[in-house]
Amino acid sequence: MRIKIALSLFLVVMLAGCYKEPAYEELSDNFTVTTNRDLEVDFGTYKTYFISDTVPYHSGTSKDSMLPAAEAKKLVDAVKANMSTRGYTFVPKAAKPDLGVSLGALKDTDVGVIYPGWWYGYPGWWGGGYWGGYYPYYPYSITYVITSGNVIVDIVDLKSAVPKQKLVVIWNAFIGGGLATSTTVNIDMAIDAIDQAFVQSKYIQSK
Amino acid sequence: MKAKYLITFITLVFAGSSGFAQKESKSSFEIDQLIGLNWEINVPAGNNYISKTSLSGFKFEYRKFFSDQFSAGIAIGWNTVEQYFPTKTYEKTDGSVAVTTDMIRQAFNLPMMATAHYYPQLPSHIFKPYIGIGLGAQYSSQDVYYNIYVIENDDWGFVARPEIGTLARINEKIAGIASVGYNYSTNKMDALGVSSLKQVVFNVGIAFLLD
Repeated sequence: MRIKIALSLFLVVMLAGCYKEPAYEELSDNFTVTTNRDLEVDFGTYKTYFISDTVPYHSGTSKDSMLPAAEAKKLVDAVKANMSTRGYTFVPKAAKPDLGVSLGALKDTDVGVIYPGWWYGYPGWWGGGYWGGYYPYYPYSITYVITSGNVIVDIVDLKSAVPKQKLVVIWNAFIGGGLATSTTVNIDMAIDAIDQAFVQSKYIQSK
Repeated sequence: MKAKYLITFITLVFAGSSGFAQKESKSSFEIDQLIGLNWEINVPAGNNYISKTSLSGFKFEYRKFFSDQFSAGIAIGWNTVEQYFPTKTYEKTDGSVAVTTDMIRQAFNLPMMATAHYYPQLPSHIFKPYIGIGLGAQYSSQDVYYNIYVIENDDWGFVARPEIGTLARINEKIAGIASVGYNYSTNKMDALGVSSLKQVVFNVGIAFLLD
């Protein structure tokens, strides 16, 4: 009888202790920052870039739209500041920039896989006939499981678009995580994450 | 430090046994079979997935004695641990991908082994020291939680666990168990470059001696 009781207790303890929820409260609220690069590209060969003032905004609960101008400007300015620090010069589209930088924002989507570049063709987007009308091509595969908020930054090689007959996304930053209820907090976290994306990509440097 | 504890433990087991041997009668410590329930402490040794000691572990074992010196049986255990890792940038070796985040790593291991033990013939009826080996399969679940995401990883691997320990008789039906072993398994966690799991395992428990 004593053995049976001991065995029963042991099994209960064993089963109860098998899995437990992790201590989520230990995790920071900061967005996770993932960057991908094309290893065959020398970022030092580019001098100029263009980025639109508008940021496409994709939500699972409403029609795709644009991020409000004031919020978009903060994100775009963060990218511009980093690109400037790395020696790249902003020029208008008409000046034939070497690089195109794009930003996209996602919120509350419940999409298993996102195909980068869904916003190409949005108003204000820099693409068009000049670069031969090619659609962006990613030299790496990216699979996203998105349950909350994300910001995606792409750098596209425009200089080689015509000779290569394709737009190659030479760098991508995928920024994501749980969103706060305050938009200001979310934008600030996104700005910090954009800065971190450049910090962990020291190879983005014009010569 | 771990090696020091191990050597001290082994010395205590065998010195204790022979010490009792001088004082006690020469009667042997005979067992037909036993069921052991152990608290298990796992100290990671040489793998970079988790470095924190797991205090949440148990082991169930059954041993059938074929002589005073040999037994064979089974052992099933589990141990779990989680550890927080502060924000850090993880880079793929070719430099193509970098990820910056903090994370919680959680591990759950379930070794299932066939065991064999050898008991040196010592004239003590209190202590019955032993060396043994367990061989079998280990299920391992290693999950990485970061922000709202999780990387789930689980697999089966081969497990080998040599151990040294002692039984300490309390009465006719019950004995204490104390042992230390080295658990090696081939479980992998590709996302973090883990190709095997190694732990120093301490067991303290109670054995029910069956007729």
